[in-house]
Amino acid sequence: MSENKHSHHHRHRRKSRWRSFLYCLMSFFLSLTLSLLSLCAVLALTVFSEDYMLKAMNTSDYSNTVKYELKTYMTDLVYASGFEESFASSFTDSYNIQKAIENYIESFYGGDKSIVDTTAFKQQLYAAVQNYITEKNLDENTVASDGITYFINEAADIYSDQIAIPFFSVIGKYIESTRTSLSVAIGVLTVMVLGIAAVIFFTNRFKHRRYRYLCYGLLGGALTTAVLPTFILLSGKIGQVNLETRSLYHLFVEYCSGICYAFYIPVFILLALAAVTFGMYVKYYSKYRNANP
Amino acid sequence: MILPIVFCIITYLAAAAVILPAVSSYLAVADMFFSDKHQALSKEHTNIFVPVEDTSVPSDSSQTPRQDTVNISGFTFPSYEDQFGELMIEDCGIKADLFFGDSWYALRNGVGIYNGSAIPGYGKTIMIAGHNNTYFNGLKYAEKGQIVRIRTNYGNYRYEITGIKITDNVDSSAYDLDADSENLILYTCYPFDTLGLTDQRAFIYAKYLSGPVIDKNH
Repeated sequence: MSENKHSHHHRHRRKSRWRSFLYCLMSFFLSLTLSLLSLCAVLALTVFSEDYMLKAMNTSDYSNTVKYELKTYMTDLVYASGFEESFASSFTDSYNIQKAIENYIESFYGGDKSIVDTTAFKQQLYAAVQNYITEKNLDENTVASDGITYFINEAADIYSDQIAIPFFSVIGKYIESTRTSLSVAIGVLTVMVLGIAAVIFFTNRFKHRRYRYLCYGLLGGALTTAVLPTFILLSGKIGQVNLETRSLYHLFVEYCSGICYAFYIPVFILLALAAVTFGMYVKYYSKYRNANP
Repeated sequence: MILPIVFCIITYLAAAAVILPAVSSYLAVADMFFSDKHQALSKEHTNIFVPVEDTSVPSDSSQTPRQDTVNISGFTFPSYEDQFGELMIEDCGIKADLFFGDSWYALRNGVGIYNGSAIPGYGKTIMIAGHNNTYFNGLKYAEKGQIVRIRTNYGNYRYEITGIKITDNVDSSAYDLDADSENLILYTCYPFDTLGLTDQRAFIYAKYLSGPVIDKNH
């Protein structure tokens, strides 16, 4: 009789261990899928979002810095071309530069080729040159039409280089092709998260265990999501990027730091959910202890 | 509550095992875009030009110029965009600050040494650029026999103009950067006094007359 009881107890413990291991495994998969879901959600809200880019540009004062840099380059160019320095102000107006940057970003996220359209700029510059010649009453001998065309093309190249963001045209096609896959991934991961959570919740006989394993998964997900951005931010690597252009440097730092900080949104959501499940665990565990002293 | 930490470690170990071999080469390339410290975006333009006493020019015409030497470690070697001297051609009415490097900044404020050519006294070709409508506008009056004077923070030099050539901006036969003897080439856009950019260049060649030779072994 005693032997039978001992054997039964042994079998029960072994079964319990297996059950615990199985639920730990499910908690791990919950943690893993939550981390991946957080990653995909952050990417969708940042890298794949035109609004995020415009916000980063706004915060880093990108347009104004580009305007300033463009004006400096143009002043050097007009100086080298025999114009008075003040001539640069006549064709580097803020509104057009702002509009060109917005069009460029719009075309990038719209899936078009990210090329800066310099037609309007060239027309504006050509008109400014004609005005300058008339105003200064310059004779034909001092104005070589080839030289003016060369000057306008050079100015358009500088303009295009300043408005364009390096590697954007290369990254653009990947962004466009990955956008749909990312939406599908978010959908699949959401279903998986809900599925695993449902299995943990509905297959556990004791309520405190349901919340305990959910809490493990949520905390694991929060921790995994938080580690990488924290490491990147603490390393200070973002600020060490070798970009000599002030506008691009500030945009890059703002953009990348923003992505890292965005990871803390799902981290806080997961931590809040973990706190709720932990509270429920404590509540049901004390009830269980009271019922089984 | 050790389990969430274990989950995190397992996830990163698995990710490292699966992803790292595939992306390690990309990470190595990406690392080249980063330096060890934060970028200093505002470049300080330094003026290191302190004129030195002119010892190479004889006080009376009967004496021959002294061929002094200067140790390369004995003076401050200019950094990119530093002003380290001045260039004068009295017959052409040219007097301009001399910069190391021919950047926009240098050409806006004076004339600059072409990157890849040598500094005076180095025993090689010195190429100096300037804008045709500003500091090098006077080169339109350049003639053979005129004297070019360059004063630097380590010595004073004199060159004599030997020739002038107008050629295309892509004509690399207009200069020899591998020359074994010291020679000076001043160049600017051509024609002078025109509005707009041009694809022609005026090259003014000059031979070395005097000035301390840089001793590169010290």
